[in-house]
Amino acid sequence: MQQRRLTRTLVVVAAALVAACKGDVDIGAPPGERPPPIENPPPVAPEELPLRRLSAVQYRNTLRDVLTRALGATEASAVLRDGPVAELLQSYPQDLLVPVPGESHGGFLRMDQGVQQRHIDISYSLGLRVGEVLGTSASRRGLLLGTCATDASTANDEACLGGFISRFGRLALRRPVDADDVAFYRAAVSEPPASALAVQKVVALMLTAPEFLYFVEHGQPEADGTVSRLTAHELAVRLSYHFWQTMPDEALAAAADSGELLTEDGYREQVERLVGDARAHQAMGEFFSQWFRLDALEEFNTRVGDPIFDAFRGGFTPTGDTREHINAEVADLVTWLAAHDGTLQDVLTDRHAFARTADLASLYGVPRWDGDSEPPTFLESQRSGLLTRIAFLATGSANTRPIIKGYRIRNALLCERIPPPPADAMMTRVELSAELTTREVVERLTEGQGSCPACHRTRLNPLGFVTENFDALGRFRSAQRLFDSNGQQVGERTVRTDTVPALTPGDTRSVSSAADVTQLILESGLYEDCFARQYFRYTFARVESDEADGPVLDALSAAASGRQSLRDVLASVALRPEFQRRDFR
Amino acid sequence: MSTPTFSRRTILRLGGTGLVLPFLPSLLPATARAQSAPSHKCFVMLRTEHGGILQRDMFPPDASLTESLPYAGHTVRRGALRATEANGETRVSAVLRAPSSELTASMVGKMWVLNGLDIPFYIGHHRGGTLGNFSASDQAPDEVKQNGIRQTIDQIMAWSPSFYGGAVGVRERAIIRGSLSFAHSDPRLRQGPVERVGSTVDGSNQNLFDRLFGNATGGQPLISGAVMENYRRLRNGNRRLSSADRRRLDDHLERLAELDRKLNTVARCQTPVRPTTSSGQYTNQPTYPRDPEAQSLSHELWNDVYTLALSCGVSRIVVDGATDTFSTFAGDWHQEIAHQAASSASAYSTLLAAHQLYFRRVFLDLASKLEAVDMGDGTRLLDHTLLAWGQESGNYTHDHTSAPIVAFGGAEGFFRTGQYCDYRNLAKRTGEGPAGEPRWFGLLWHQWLGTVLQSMGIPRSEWEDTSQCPGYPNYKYDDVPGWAGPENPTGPVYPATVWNAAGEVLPFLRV
Repeated sequence: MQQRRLTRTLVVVAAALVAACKGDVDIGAPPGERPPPIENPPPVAPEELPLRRLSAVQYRNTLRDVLTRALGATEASAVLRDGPVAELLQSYPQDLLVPVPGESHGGFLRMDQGVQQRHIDISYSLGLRVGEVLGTSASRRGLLLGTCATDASTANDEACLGGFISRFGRLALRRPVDADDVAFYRAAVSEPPASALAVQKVVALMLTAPEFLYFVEHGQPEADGTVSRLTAHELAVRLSYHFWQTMPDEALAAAADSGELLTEDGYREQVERLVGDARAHQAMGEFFSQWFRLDALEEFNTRVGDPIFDAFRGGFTPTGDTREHINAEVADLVTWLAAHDGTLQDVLTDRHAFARTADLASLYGVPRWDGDSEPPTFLESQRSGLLTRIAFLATGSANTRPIIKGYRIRNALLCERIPPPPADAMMTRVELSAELTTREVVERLTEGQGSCPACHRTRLNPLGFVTENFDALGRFRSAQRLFDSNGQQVGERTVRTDTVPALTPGDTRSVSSAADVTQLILESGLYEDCFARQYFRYTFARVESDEADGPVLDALSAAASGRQSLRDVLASVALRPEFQRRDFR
Repeated sequence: MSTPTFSRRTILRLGGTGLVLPFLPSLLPATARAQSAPSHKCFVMLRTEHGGILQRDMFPPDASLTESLPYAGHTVRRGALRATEANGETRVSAVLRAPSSELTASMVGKMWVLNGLDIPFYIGHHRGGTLGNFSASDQAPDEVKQNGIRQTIDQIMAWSPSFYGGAVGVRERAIIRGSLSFAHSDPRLRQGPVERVGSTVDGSNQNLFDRLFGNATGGQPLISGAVMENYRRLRNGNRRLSSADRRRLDDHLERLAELDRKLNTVARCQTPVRPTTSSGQYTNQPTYPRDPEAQSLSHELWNDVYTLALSCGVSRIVVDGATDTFSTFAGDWHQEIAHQAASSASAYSTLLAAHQLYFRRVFLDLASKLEAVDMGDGTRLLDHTLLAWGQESGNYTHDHTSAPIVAFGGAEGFFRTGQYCDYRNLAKRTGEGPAGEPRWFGLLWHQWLGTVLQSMGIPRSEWEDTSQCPGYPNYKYDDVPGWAGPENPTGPVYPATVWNAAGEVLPFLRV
């Protein structure tokens, strides 16, 4: 902890120096700067977002799983393939990445908590259509209600509908259904109880219910002031959506029903089960993809036909899917590490190539990976880990982007705030040159005069230069090929990767490889601190408060710094009291 | 109600686009002012990304500014909008030109152009600033991002009883495409956080048509009342909720009420024929991003539905934020064209051609379609409309000064059309821009937005709060770091006289 505090202090000094140099830039709170942890902090629940809504992904997953549990996978799939159902699902508003205040980039989809009219309109239409598809099919009615719905007797229809409301509601509302609930949903049906319309109305009402669209939490009756621990079913929902992006499975629901989830052992057992399950991988991939801003990668095939790009790419022909393949590799990396006791540090240093597709394997020069067996390792010694993965190198053009690479490492991986460039700087383009390497072009443009060097020379460029031995498709190179405007190669210049990254102020150590920089990153503690902030935002769907949320941030950072397994680190947030409580002020 | 008529010439002209003929005849018998409302004002805002067209190419020549007026501490100027005609083309400026068969003298007479309207701080790239939410910006100062959060003017109109009254026959209060529109989480009561409104439809022109003119309930049972009751049950129950939870449930209930209203709304015109061509026919092509013809055709199809909606009154507000490039350029438009246009002749040429194409194929196309609708009282739909085209930036990408407004229509006699107004203070300019053309400080964007609200009949009491400044939004921030030039390195640059005028209708505009 002492080392981390020192790091934070140094960063404050560096930030102040840079601000003074620029003169007109407020770079805001430096990364990692938080008050020291309070001894024995009170278990105060963090300030809550009110009535969080399901993300678009969670909404779709939940509908799928409710139907699957109610009808079986085959019938559920058929319902979801129904034309209007599929069209409405497609139209459900996409979430947007919401950056934290003061930042222009990054953020997490879960933080988009806005509710649009279209959320309401489409969920209403979708509820009715799904209800119609279920209700008008006698076989599906039979699956949902039982034989009482299709037998000749009407005497049992009332009980039949009541049973359906209880069972379907248990899934859709994600909690046990009480008598008041049954009475409410029953009262909404004026048609014969086992009729198609009755089923449709009940289904539609439940798929538009607040408990379906939102995370409705009441907490346990006992409260400490305005803070209350969540009920077993509320906890089950939090856990399930956090790790799996969907509703609790039967085992988790059963643990909630029995109260086992409210015991320390029972809760821990479920957390470990959830985080170890393959269903957690989607959420892990989502977290790391959004943290690392992989969505910013451009399409790769749009420049095919451009003479310079064609000459540059040579025999490699990107397709419309190449971008997705490149990004998916990072999710595969995280999934693999999570399943093999890897650590957060391993995300930086692991040298397996997760090239499931021919295009990616071709760029890496490795065999394709089958997705199950031990993946091959990189053959090139310079390919040292995350910073040399194609997702961190490629640009979709013939030119590398050292400034952007440096910015992403500083700003996304290390949470260091970088002020926006002055307006006129945006008019300056790093052009491919027929005489100079991209590094040389960048140095001339940004390190010579004006206010540019204050940020570029020490903070941005070095972290981009160090991977200039990889081209804009992420292929290793020792020299940069130079082209004229017709795509004719007119020369070649050796690339330089030597630089002084100054990750912490005053650090004058020079490096010449991505491996060197990775080592400095690991020594700095900034990566783990940044992870803590990012994972907090992902978990709680809000921006952290350094003061109130310090205990959670420190616990996350400490778990990561202690080289606990990735699974344990990700699980640790759910074991925090803050995760299990709610402030109802 | 009288029957609207279309001249053969008009139909032929519109038919030249190949898009309007299929539905217009069916529209004719039932459309014109079936609403019999005292006002049929419409607001349409089209907005393109980046901007960055130099003064010399965007605006008419200075020589056309034949009148001047001392205003807000400097001289503002105006003149009749003059077009030259040569080789079958009518030209107002390098961007504002089209075949004379499309940009007719009559259309020039209904067109107007504003120069010298500024957002008073560095905007970087933004979405919300165009309609009043300055906070929705990637690179605006933190102060703006945190304190400039406002609903946009389209949403003020959409929920104003002065605009829609009881919203009878209104299927969508505003047709939104893109990310320009923001509203309170409870837009009716203007309470709660300001949030992105989102697009009205996700899909094609046919999807929008179905939403506006299709069976509101889709033949399904009406259960919106029961859905609302379900929320009230939770909201008013005795189980613990935070006050913020309840507020969010209230917001949801308001939106359910809006859904219920729409489900019970019947369009007050005969249902027109559904467009036979889907814009998806173009947008789903892999080459679409670099196919300006396909982009134009797609937008023309959307314009058809906008015209139907406005004429019928199922909606009288359209906000369309175009993201297409209208170019064959295949690279990174943002970095390689928009950001380089000021320093690269070829990039600028590409940018200029794209804007000219948008003007002709999208903006003028919509204006012509609105003009083609006879409202049965001697007026055209365009006369009831304020159709404006704005751009993200001024004469350079990221430039907050002189963001152009090109408009058609008089908003039922509110605006004096056929003129060019220049509000720049020629005595107060920034340093030269990278293309060598200076930038000038003029009047405020607040004044433009306030003028729009007044033109649409929204009482000041519904939107003006002069605690910070008059006009809209009520957000005063004036700081131009890095752009102010040697005379004004940083800090406020707009004098009190300019701020104080922001609540007035922009000079020269009233009839």
